[in-house]
Amino acid sequence: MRVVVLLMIVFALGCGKKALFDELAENRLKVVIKGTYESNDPRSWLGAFPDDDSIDDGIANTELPTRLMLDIAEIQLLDKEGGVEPFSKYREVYTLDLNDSESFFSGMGIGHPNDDVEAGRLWTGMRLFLRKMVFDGAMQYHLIPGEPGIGTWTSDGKLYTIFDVDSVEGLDVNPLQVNTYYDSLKQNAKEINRIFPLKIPIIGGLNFNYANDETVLEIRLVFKNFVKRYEYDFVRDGYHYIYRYFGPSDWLRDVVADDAVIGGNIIAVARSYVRGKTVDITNAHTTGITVVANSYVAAVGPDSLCASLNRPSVVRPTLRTSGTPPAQCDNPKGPHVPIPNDIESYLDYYLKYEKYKENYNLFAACVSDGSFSTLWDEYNDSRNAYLLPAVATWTSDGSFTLKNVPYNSSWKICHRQTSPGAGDLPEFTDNAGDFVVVTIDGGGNVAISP
Amino acid sequence: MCMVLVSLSAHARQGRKKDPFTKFQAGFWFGPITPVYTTADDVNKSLGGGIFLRSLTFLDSFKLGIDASYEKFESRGVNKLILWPVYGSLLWRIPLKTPLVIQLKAGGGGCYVTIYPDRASQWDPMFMLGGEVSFPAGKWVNIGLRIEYLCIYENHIPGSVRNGHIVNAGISLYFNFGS
Repeated sequence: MRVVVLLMIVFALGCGKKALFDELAENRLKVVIKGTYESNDPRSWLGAFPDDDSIDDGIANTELPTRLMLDIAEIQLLDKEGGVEPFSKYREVYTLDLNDSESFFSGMGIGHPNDDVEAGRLWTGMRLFLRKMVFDGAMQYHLIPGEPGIGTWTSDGKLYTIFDVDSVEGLDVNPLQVNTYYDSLKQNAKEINRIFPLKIPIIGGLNFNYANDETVLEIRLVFKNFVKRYEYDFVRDGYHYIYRYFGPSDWLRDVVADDAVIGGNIIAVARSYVRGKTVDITNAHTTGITVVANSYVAAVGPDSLCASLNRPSVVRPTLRTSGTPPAQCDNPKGPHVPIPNDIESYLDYYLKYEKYKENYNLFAACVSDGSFSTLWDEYNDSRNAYLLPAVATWTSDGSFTLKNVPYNSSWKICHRQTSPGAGDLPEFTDNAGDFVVVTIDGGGNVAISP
Repeated sequence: MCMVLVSLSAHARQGRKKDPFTKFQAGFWFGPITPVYTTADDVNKSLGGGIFLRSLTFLDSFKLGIDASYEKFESRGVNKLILWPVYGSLLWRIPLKTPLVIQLKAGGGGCYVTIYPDRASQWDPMFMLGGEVSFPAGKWVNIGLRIEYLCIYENHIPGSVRNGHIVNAGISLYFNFGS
């Protein structure tokens, strides 16, 4: 009898309770990472990987990348007060084929392991710790002496790097993305690291609630149709070498010849939504704009300009060659060392060096009157302010669906007929007929604002 | 004959007095706590400890025990599990004529479970199986080792598919009370 009573007491302890060990094991927060500008139904791969204007040496090469390798060490969430939640301390490596069926590029995205996070806090950003980013198809060349003038560029073959313990074909471009060119001009450049971690804003924030069965945190890193070929110059043992490698397009922060770094061009954004509490915005919800085939549709905040999705108008300051006071200025780069044992090459080098000194005098004037820091700060601020759309899609026939747009939100749906080429992002206007504002209420009803 | 029996009985009582097992005991333990089976997928092993009481029963080979412990498990991420198991047990001494006391034990009770980052807490029923080995270190103290398996039972909750599974091991210090 006593045993029965004891058992009854024991079981009574569990009445009306939650399965905590199931809660511990299962996540209500799902992280999905996509490699596309679009949040769903992305544009197909164009198959083009344009040459950046950093390419100014060597010979034309035709190697193309076939895969992207990412090594993600950790993801952290940030709140407004600066609180940090290391909710995904799981290192994962991904080898992603550059084709339309790869989940990373198909719009489906890849799931990344994570834990649930504390409820009741508004998470506004995240830090993505990218250990490595490797594109294959990278080549090395060097300039051989013996020829008059410039010499002859010779291929040294493909480049290899270590990825996930193994040697793989490609170049890890992460070290080149630590700094933007702007950062490299600063005295504290060594203290700046833009890639480890990469800071990503969460548009609308993440307000996690355990009452919801599934909350999705979608992270988008723009890679698809946004890859360019670059050139990296270096000198070793008196010889001029170059790498030809692939990396994210310099659409946002222009990379020019002889720039050592290409940072600040991993364009990323995140958003969250609760599964089952979203609607799909389609043509039917956006009467007022005519969406044509082969174009982008994107959503920004109701008070934002569609043009905020465009590349900022401030251009990279360049070397002032005429005009006073200086309107543009960039730090001139010195000429490369000549080919050893070649007198003509040395003469060519010293001529270029004289030109470099002349340019440097112009640059010094630009620094002296303060234009240098003003212009570059303005350029950098404009780039830092750039945000990708929270939701975007591509339509090949004029009919579109913006999927998983959360309840209780309002959006300006932007459309532009012109479609960008590879390495570029779409640009929008705020002309009448190019946008419409929609509001979604708590029941999923969509209303078009006048 | 009677004298012999009385003499044996007195000798047995004296032997019982010297046997620490036959005394009321209180003590504490400290050692590694290890999540096993499905629980091992979610949290990492750690260190834990607790206190216990052991009282005599009318049967010489059996004692009753009450244990309470504190067990905190971290994970690689933000998941965290804190357990406060409180349970009663019946301990049976394996009848070996050595100073080493070997006991098997089984019991049940409740466990206060808290998980993070959910910050959810509740009492769950739990069961325990285990064993203890101890030897006297003087009149007042026994030193021992323990190992026990705890099952924090949640399968009775509708929809639940997992229980909590923990293995505790540790060094125990028993304090013997009474004459």
